[in-house]
Parts: sequence; structure tokens; C-alpha cells
Amino acid sequence: MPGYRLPRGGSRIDRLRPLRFTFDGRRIDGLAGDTIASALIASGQTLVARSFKYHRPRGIYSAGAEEPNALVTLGADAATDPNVKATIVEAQDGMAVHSQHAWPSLATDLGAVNGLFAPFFAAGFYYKTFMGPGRRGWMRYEPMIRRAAGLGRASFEPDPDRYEMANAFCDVLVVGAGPAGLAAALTVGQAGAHVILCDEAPIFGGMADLDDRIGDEPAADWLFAMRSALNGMENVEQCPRLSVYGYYDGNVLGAVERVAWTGADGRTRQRHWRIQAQRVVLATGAIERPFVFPENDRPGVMLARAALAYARRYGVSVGGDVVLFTSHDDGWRNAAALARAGVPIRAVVDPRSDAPAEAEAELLATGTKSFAGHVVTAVEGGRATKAVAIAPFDAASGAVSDDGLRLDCDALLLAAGWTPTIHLASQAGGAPVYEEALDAFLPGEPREAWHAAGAMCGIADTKGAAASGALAGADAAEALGLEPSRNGARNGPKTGRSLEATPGNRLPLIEVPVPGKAFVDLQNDVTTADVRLAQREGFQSVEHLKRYTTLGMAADQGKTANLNAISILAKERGVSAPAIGTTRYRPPYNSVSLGALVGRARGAHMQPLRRTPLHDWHLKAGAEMINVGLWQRPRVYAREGETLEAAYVREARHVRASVGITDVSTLGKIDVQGPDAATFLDRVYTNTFSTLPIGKARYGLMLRDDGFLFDDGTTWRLAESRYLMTTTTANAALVLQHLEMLLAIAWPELKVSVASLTDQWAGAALAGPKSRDLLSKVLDIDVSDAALPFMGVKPGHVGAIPVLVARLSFSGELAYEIYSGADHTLALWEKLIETGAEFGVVPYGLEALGVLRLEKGHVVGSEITGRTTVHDLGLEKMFSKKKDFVGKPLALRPALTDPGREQLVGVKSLDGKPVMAGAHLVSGADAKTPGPPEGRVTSMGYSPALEGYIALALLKGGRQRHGEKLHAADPLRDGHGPVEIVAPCFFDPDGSRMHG
Amino acid sequence: MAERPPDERAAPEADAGTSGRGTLLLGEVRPAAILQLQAWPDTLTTVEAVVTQMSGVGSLPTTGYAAAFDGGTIMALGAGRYVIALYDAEIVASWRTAFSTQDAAIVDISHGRTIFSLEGEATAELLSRCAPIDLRAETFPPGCIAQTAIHHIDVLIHRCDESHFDIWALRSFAESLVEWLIDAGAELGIERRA
Repeated sequence: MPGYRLPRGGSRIDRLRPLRFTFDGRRIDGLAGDTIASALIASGQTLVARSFKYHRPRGIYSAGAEEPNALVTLGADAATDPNVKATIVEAQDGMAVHSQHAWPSLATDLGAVNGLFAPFFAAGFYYKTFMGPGRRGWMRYEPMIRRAAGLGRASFEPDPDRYEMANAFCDVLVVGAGPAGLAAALTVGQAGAHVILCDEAPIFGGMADLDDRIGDEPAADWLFAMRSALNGMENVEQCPRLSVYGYYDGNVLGAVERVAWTGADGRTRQRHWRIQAQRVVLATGAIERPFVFPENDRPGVMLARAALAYARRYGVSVGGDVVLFTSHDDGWRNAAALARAGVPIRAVVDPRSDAPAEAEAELLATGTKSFAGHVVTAVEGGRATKAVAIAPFDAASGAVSDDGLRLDCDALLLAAGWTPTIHLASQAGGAPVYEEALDAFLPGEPREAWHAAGAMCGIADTKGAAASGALAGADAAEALGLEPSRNGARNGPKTGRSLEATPGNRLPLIEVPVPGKAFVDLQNDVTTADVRLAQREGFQSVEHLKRYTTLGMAADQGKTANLNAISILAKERGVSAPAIGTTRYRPPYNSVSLGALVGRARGAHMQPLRRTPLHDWHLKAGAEMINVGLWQRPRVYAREGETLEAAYVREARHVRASVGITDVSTLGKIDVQGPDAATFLDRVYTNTFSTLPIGKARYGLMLRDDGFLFDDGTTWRLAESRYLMTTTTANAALVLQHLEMLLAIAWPELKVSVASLTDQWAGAALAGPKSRDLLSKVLDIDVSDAALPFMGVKPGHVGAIPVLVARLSFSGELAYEIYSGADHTLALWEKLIETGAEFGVVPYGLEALGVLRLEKGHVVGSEITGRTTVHDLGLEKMFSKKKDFVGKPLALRPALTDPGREQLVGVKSLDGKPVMAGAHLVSGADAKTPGPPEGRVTSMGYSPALEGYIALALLKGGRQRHGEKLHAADPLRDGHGPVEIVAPCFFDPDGSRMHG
Repeated sequence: MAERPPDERAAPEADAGTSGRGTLLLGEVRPAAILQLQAWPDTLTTVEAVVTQMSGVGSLPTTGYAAAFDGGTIMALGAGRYVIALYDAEIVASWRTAFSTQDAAIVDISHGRTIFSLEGEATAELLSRCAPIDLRAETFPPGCIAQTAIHHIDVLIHRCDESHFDIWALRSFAESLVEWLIDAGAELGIERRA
């Protein structure tokens, strides 16, 4: 008979609160406190999944995060949550739970036909198969293989649930709230530290609730006392359902909290925690280790301690006729505990010749048969266990007799030992250390400030685990300078393991040496044959074994498989397990949803937006906004029916004919002041600024240390020792960092202060022949050519608003930039618009600004790419020969001044089509034989002044090639158009318009 | 520089929340002026004497702390670097001209910063969901300041008292920051104060 609810028992369930959910549409009755797995077992559901490769029927294997089989999908549509471990998630009323990886149904899965082709699906089969015919053969197979791969299916719709992030700080983080963790938290808490105690389970206690006694005390009393003591401590924060998945540098740990099973009604579904602790106590326990033998994957085969958990915590018997297979004393005690809980134990099978007397006697009294000196050699059954085959075993020779017998049963429990859970310790420590007595790996040397305790250190008994936890807690408290109570316990090492391991009379048998299909990694369907095949094919390192067979690479990360695989590989190679070693432990310990990692940084919150004070005005004026880094800037103010190109051409034309206004608030602005400000600027710019008169601006170029161009902008001298530096929008923060670095490290003796004013000042650029007329109507200062010459700077007022006006031109027209304190910029702008109506002022956006500067050949970020030099862009005149400045020595390297380098040129389209940015300049007229690339187009646009498409480009030896005819090759967009190379300034080359 | 005008833009929708610990209140603080002051190593003593005398504080705060005085608050960001928020418009002019250019650099950043005030029992909890710094009362008591980031936005957090924090950010990020804080506070209950 399958599993069923026991008439009594179940410390975590409430028998007065039934609930109901569905599994593949079938109604499942459970009780409040059940996990999905416990409710399924109680309802008699044995088959819960199909395996990855062979689609073999699988059942529930464990009661925790180590579960390899029972992965289910919750929810539907956008709320689909695949690969959820049924053993962890608490059942909820109304849940819709679905099996995975089976069609048309779990019971009659057609994928099971894969089992017939098992010989072709051995380890590494995809390196040996699916080749050809022809080179494109793989392209045909790949989609099919992708569809077949994986277990659950994710939704392609956006996840509607809410995920949060939080940061926590504490003196001591205790990971794991079993006996060791509880004792550690109590000790540290009593010493006065701020403690966070966490566990992935909803209820603290670990496996203590599966024992009858802890030392001389009833386990329930011990747990009650511990919980009561901790509940009364304000300095101990208790965090259930918090799974720590990673241990990082600086004693920082990552964890995910399961807040709600559904995000309906806007509830937070999961919360990601970044925890910074001064010390960490790791009490992460151990996972039961299974045996490996033929057909060991059948539904009904599970870990022994898990069966006890189902009985004690959920009042569920995993079967009506149970056999337990163990190789150590604790397995017998487990069987006796199951019997006391009402689970019918038919037999206990043990390869050792002697069983522990007390436990054996208790079981014999209940009718259980004892098969000491025997092993299980196979499981019989398909979608459920029906029987097991057992045979006599000689522990000395390791031989299995042919004289076996068959035991009817419906569940087989495995207890082959324990695998300490050393993942977090190993992420933050040295290589694990093999303990021969345990046949297991224990934590290595800590690299971060952690102390380990309990079963993860190989301490098998609960009382010993608690003692080691108290010791670890005391050590952690002392390391913080506190005075913990040690109750006479000796000091442990300052970090690392607190007590020695306790082996517990175990026979180190893992693989039963009989032929047959025996699984090592259940979730990825890796068999012993696969492990041996990998070894024969030369994949002898454990890291190669992992990748070649995929052992340990599934969602369970091989928690019940890795150690067994190491044992088998070691035996196959004739070496010891430490010679094999473990694979490298990396986060995450458990799978972490992408939602938890993203938190709320999605959709509108994906990244912050920077807005100018004129943002709302632009929106009301119908601007199409565009992201420039984090800034929102107006792209065009298109009128009804206008295309993008038509809009910017109209705007640019209007600027050249009349006057336009554009928002330049985003430009970087840096206050540079101090007695040494002029000296400093001479050192950071290629040209000289100490000679700049007060009230004037100068265009400057900045290099990186390696001699390449970094940024450009104008810097204005406002006073003897005060300048306002402007930078490009994109590089504002980088330039400020650069200046601060120079002042802090290169020239700390200079008395210069730099401060960002990008947000302090906001403003507009007015450009066009009528810009002076407009400005003179609003300003209280003389803006005539004589009073405010080109590159002049003057303070003034627009009404009551103090402003700073500079006569600068990026567009090549008569132009001014006018700034105010950001609070006043909207009023300033509106005044300019209102007054400018008389002159026909229109706003223009980035596209028009771009084409205006393109016509003038002014360079921007598309040309200052980090790979271009002053010489490349034809700006040699700004490269001072007299003074030193940042980047000068390396800028003079021959390779950076070679005349054959790519140089800035203008490009005219000869066929009336756009010359696309990114196109390569080639000599071949035929797109199929273009010839080698000789240059590339950096910026392009339609020029209203020239009435045609133009571009800027970088072309090898470009300055000597004006007049040459080439082609712009753009194969990705099917472009290959004829072009002419010209000087980069297309319009008003003598600058008479802007100097007027 | 003229008084800062009131912000008349509409606030994002606030949320009542479910924390049961009272609503968090998010408001804006508008000093009359904000000045950044930088002294140099050999002028530090002189500048600090002037600041002490003008503010009337007994002793200047050390780096990472703020001190309130009559009419303002002074925050120590680093060696010789202070930010001074002046709430009394009458004293602004005197602060602006109190230092010679040889001794210190003084920069007006009044328009460039937005200051939010966050009050309520759950403020530290809300901020722990936003910024990766230790805000526990014992490590970040009233008077502490920290420069950190919330949602990729550089901020300065000033703990004014047990359940009141001021959050400073660059003006251009202010709206994004408010949107983020309102959303972060949804579970706890948050309201934007007019």
C-alpha cells in the first residue's frame, strides 16, 4: 500500500485545519503545516516526477532541500513557478501543483521510450552523436534537444510578483537552527551580541525533533527550553524560511527569504538579504547518504531520516510495508523510532554482521525481521516499489552471494551515513579535509571569519552537536571581545571546527557490487556506468567527471550524489577519496530565483532617470524623449504627421534661419576653485587656461594617461582663482572622478577644490541669427558683439533671476548659453519662449543639435571614442608644445602621431541615401568584393544646409584623401553606397556666422 | 540667490501599507541655502575656527557626523570638507563671504540638492531595504551621516533622531528617488507629506 496519514503524531501539522490543493488536477487533501510532499505521500501519491534523460518514474526521496526528484510547478501563466521542491514548500489551500517533464501524463509518459535508447544516452553522448549529415546537421538537432532538455518550463510572460531586497548587519550570524545553531545563538546572545539566527525551514530545531532524547533530557523539553530562551532575547533576531546561499568576501552572505507562496494582491513573494556579519557560526548540518545499487531510483525508495521526518513532523507513513537498509547503528535507531511512530517496518538489512543490540531487540519485538550481513541488491517495481532483492554480504571480502531472497515491500529506506553540508564553509574557506573515519569531507581552513559546529563537522549525536554549537558560539563571542559563559567547556580553535568528529560504528559501504542499472545522481540520471565510462575515456579529475557526466549539475547540485561519486571514482582509479577531492564549491547553495536577485529594479525602476527642471515642459510640448545615459532629453518636437527626419530637419533649418532654443541642462559642470586652480587646469588640459582672461571661455581637450582623447568642453574663468568647467553629458562624473583622483594622489599639494554643479545650474542654448535680438530683450546687460564677444562670459539678470550668459556655439550659428540656479530655470525658459515668440523661436532637440554640429564638423562622443587622438581629429593646434599636461608623453608616441592613422573626414552621400553610422569605408564598388576596410563612419544625418546626407568618419590617412570616391559598406543593413571624402566642416568654414 | 520656490509637482501615489507600526512620512526639506566648504591642510585650523565661531557649536563634528546649530546644520564629509545647510535666510550672505579664497573654497549647491525627510517608526527598516549600510541605532546613532547609494543614486543619509532620517540626493535624481522610496515603503505604509 502506498503512503498514508497516521492516526496520530505530526508536530508540525494541525489536524483541525484541513486544506485542499490539486496535483495534476487530482484533489489532494492535506493539513495546515504539511509540505506539498508530505500531503502527497499522505494521499498515497507515490509517483511524482519523471527523470531527466530516461523519463523513469520517480517518487519523493527526501524531506528537505537535497530533494532530487520531487520538483513541481506551481501556478500558471505569468505566475508559473517551475522546479519548486515539493519537500520544502508548505502546502496552501487552493494551490495548483503540476508535475513536470511528462507527456501526456505522469503515469503514461511517452518520454519513457528514451529508456529503450539508454545505451545511446550514456555520459557525453552529445559529444559523440548528432553529427551531420553536413555541417548544418547540428542546427536541425539543436531545437529538438533543447525542447527535450530541462525539467520545468518557465513562463515567457513578465513575472508579476513583487520581490524585495534588504540589508542586514549583525555581530554574529548563525546559519542553521538545528541543535548546534540554537546552542550557538543562545551562547552568543547571552554574551550580549546582536545575533541573527536563520534556517531555511519554517520551524527551528533541525533534526532534534526526530530524536526522543537529547542526552538525558526529552528532546521536546530541550527544544522547548531553547526556543523559550531565544524568544525572550531581544538581541537575537530569528529568521525562519531564510536560506543562505552564498558566502562572499568581507564576511558578506547572500540569502533569500520565502515570504509568501504567492505574490497575489501585491504581497512580497521573496526577499533577498545581503547580510554583513562580524562573525559567522555555520551549523548547516548534514545530509543523509544513500546506497547505490540497481534500480535504486524507483518510487518508494527514499532516505531513512526523511521517512522519520514525515512520520514525526507530519504524521505520515511512507508505506505500509517498509524495509530499511543501513550500515551504521543510527540507522537501526531510526528504524526503531519509525516503528514507535506507527510505521510498519518489515525488515532491516545491514551489511555488518552485528546489529546494535538494543535497537534490534526493540524491532524484533514488533515483528521486524533482521537481516544482518545482507545487502539490498535490487528494487522491483515500475511506478512503485513492490519488493526488494537482498543477498548475504561478506564485509571482509566485499562479495555478494548469489543466494538471495525477495522481500515484498512498498518502501525502501536508505541510511548509508552522512554527508556534512560544508558548502558555505568551502565557499569561504580552503579545500575540504577528508576524514577517513567518516568517509566524508569536513570543512577546511576558514578564509572568512566563521566557526563551524554540529553535524557539518561530523558530530553525529544531537547532544554533541549542541555542545559544539555552544563552543562555536563562545568562540565567536570571544572574538568580538565579549565574555561568553563556557560552562566549563574548553576553548575550541578560534575559527573552524569546534569539536572532533564522531564516526558511529559505520561500515563504509556505498556501492553494492552487483550488476545492474544503479543511479548515482538521480536528478541528472547519472549511473555508475556513466562514472566508469568517464574514467575510461580519460575524464579522471572530479571536475572533468562532473562536466562530462553532468553529475552534480542539476538543481539539487548533487547533494545526495557527489560524495558517492567520489567514492566510486576513487575505487575505480584505485586511489583514496582525498586523492580525488571535491569539485569547487560555488554559490548558490540552493537555486535562487532571478526575481529575488532583481528585486524591485525592473520596469520603471530598472534604473533611475535623471530629469532636468524643464522635463515636464518638454513633455507638454510634445517632445519625444530619449535616454542619454540616465538622463531624459528631448529628441525632437515632432509635429503631427512628421517623421523623425522631417522633424529634426525642420528644427535645424529654423535655427539656421531664425532662432532656436534647446535644453542644455545636462552638460557636466564642475566648479574648479582655489589658489592653484589655473595651474591645475593647465595640467589637465592640452591647451593653456592660466592665460584665459576673467570673463572669457575657452574650448579645451582632456587626455587620458595613455594619450588618447578623454573629453572636451569649454571652461570659463569667473574670477582669478575660480573656473567653471563644462564637460560632455556622458563624461561629467568620469571627469570629476579624474580631477579628484589627480588632486588626491598626483598633486595633493595643489590647493584646488572641485565640486559638481551639473544639477546646480540648468539652462538653455539660444542659436540662430536672431538669438542676440531675443537675448537683448530679456537680459539687463549689454549683449552686443563688442560687450559680449565670441567666447565671452557675463553675469546678468532675467527679471529677478540671476543668470550667467556665455557666447558659445556648438551649432556654428550666433549662439549663447544662459544658465540659472535650477529652481529658476523653468521660469527663465518660459520667459525666453514668451519673448522669443516675436522672433519665431522654436525648441529643438538632440537630433537637430546633432545635425547642426555635424554640418560644422564638431566632434562629440561618436568621435571621441577612447581610441582617437588629438591628431586624428585634426585638433593639433590645441596640443601645447610648451607645457606638460596629463597624457602628453604617451600621446607623442610615434604610433599615435603616424599620418597613416585614421583621421577625421567628412563624407557626402552620392546616391541620395543615408550613410549609416558604423558603415566601413572601402574602395570596392561591389558589395561582394568590397576590399579591406579603410575607415568607418562615426556620425550621420540629413543636412538641411547641403540638402543631402552627410557624415563624419575616420579614414586612414584621411586628410590627404579629400575628393576621393569610396563606398560605405554596411552589409548588416544591406547598404553599399557611393560617397565622396571631403573636409569635415561642411558649412560656414570661416565661422563668420558664429562670430557675427 | 533667491529663495527656493515651493515644489508644486504632484507626488507619486502613496501607500497605506500593512506594517501596523504607523505610517512613514516622506517630506522635503528646503534650506535657504546649502554651501559646500573645502579647506586645505594648511588652512584647516583657520577655517574650522571661523566655522566654529559663526555656527556657535562647541566643537565641530568629526568626519561622518553632523551637528545642528541655531539656523543650520553642519555635516563633516571628509578632511576639511563640510556641507552647511542654512535654514535662516538672514545668515546666508555672511556665510558666503566668511572665507577668503586663499583659505577655503565655498560653493553654493542650494539648487543642486534635494533633501527628503523620512519619519516614522519603521524608517530604519525601510532604509535597510534601500541602502547597504549599517543603520542600527548602536552603530548609526542620531547625528551620524553616511554617503552611500540607493537604487544607483548617490545619497547622503543623515540620522536626525531615532526615527527621523534626512536623505540628500542630486536634484536631477529626486523624482526617481521618491518613486523608489514610495514603492519600497508600500509594505510598511508610507505617505508623502505636502
